[in-house]
Amino acid sequence: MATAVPVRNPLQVWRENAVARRLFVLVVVIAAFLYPILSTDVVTIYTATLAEVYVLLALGLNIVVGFAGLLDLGYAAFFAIGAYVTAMLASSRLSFGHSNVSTFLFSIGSNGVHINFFLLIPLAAVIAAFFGILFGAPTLRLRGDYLAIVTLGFGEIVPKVIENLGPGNSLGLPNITNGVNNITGIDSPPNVNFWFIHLNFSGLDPRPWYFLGLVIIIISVAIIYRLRNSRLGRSWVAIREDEIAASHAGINITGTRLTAFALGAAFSGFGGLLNASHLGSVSYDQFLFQVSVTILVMVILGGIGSIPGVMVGGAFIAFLNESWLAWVGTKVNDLGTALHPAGGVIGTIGAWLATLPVESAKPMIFGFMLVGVMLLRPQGLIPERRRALEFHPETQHELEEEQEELYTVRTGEI
Amino acid sequence: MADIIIAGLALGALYAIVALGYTMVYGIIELINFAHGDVFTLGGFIAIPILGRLINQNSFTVSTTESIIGIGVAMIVAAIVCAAVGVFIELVAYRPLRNAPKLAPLITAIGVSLILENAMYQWQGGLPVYAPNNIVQTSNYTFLGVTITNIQILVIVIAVLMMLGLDFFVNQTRLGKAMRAVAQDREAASMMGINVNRIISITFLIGSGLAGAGAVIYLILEGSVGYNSGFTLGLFAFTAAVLGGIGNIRGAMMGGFLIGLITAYVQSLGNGGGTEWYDVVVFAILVLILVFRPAGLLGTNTTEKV
Repeated sequence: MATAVPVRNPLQVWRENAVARRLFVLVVVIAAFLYPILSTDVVTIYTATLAEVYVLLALGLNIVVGFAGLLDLGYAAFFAIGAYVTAMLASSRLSFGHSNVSTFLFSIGSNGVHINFFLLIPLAAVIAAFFGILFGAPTLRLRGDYLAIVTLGFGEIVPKVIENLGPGNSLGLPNITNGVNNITGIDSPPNVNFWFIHLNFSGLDPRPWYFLGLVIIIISVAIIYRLRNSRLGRSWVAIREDEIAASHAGINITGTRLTAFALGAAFSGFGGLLNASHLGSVSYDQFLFQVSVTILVMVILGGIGSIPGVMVGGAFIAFLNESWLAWVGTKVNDLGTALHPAGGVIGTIGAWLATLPVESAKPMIFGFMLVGVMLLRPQGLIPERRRALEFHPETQHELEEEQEELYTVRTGEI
Repeated sequence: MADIIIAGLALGALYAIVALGYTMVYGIIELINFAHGDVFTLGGFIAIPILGRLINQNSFTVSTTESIIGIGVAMIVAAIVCAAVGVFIELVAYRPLRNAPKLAPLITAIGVSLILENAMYQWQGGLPVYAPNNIVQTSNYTFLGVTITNIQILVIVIAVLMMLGLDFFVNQTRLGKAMRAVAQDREAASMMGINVNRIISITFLIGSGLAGAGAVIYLILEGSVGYNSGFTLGLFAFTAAVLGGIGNIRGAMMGGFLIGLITAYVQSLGNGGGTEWYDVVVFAILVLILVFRPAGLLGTNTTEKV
């Protein structure tokens, strides 16, 4: 290997060209803002709004799975907590007394609790993070893979608790979550009228939601980039790479992991807030294991640890989930119906395709994606540089170079 | 109270059988085999048509020989099919990732579980599939005022026999010794001339085979199996394995019985609250064990291998 001439592949050249990279990001952001203005396809804009929530969730899970290397299989639980916090604090669910206390930011009383959306943002994130710490603290000091099973259990418990705390529950507790009856009538954010920006969230137009989601994603990505390159972010990677070495370098393993877990939970709670107020209703079965797995597939497919990767993965899987798979399903079935009269082998294949349940096979498709990516391209579609090197032992010398580079940068700082 | 204990032991026998599969695999390659619960479900679907064929469903009574043959054949066939599937899964999804970062096989395990579960959904549909309702002619025995059905006796006896067999295999035979050696130190074992990959395959063979046979026990107890039955049962069994000390075979057996007893007790609590909350209670137990005694009741080794 030592004598081999280093091949500069286009991806590598791209990575080293910071100007082109920044220009590309700028073009993507402008296109994302212009798209709903120029397009009249409301259905796609609506789907894109749902996709934005998933991108946000994928970014959050990426902190846990990608940066800290912890497998969280109950991520939807925090999504549920964020959504239900929103549902209870921004609807007429929790009403009491005979009068209302109203201020600019909230109103409480017989009409229920209505807290302003923008005040709920920190609230939902903090409450979700609190639950993240509550469940993370006992398990994070153990082996990493125990966390997978505990989070899986947690992901099962949360919807179950929500389901059980409905009206007339067996424990005789007051109706808190409305149980199997959903909570509906969740407030929208207040309308925004500022300079040339007029966003009306109470109408049917999905565009204001799209813009809101986009702004939130841009802010989140900025935060996450800063986090990744911070002392904390480097500690996460250090623990992921070698726990023992990291602890000997003075990193507090449990504390550092806990911050990753809590921050991931906060983003999920945040996503729950956005989704609940966008859809206007929540129900306990929106947050089952299936959702946790979907978000995991986004992160794995896009590239574990890679911020652009998980964003692309998130958007792709969300669109697949919400519309493309159904479209492919009907096309496949139509093709089958067309081939069926041909008879013979083609006819048999046609008959098979005509009833092929593409959409209900979603978990299987996701399963094959997980297995396929891990076996064939473990670094994901748009890999993070360090991960790509780590997963391929034959590029060990590159990894060492990268580490050396990191070292020089760090000592340079001092 | 006594009948709750009997019901709990019967349920616990089932959890113990499934927990063995988790604990053996974890003991040997430190992997939570998420697909194990789905392999168990597959065993149920394999066993149902066999039971239907061998047990005359038209008569009101079923003879003892008919029951024995039906259960025996169903268990053997289900065990063989599940064992084959288990070995295949290991070969395709876990073996290529033996030296990859630990996260990788854990993620493929989730993937395999999704594939299996959805394949069974496509095959058998979303509704539970029922076994013949008279696999065993029910009769009650009363000892000292405690009523116990022959089904419960049968289930406990079969499970205990399987566990004794496994215990003998692991502790007394050459292969079992090799298995323990691989679990202790894979590299050293391979230097002693043990074919590590073959031992790992055998572990999956036995674990999955037990799950297949366990599925027949499940059918005798519950009467039906659905495409996602194995998911929750797998979580409970895993909790049992952790309770007993993961990697410890006798621990898994004990943990299984304990979780069975706890489940039966919580379910019996009044007002319907027990049946709504028992899974929450079991997961709470899982978290509590991990907080206060992460090595489990019988485990000693808590340090992660370097």
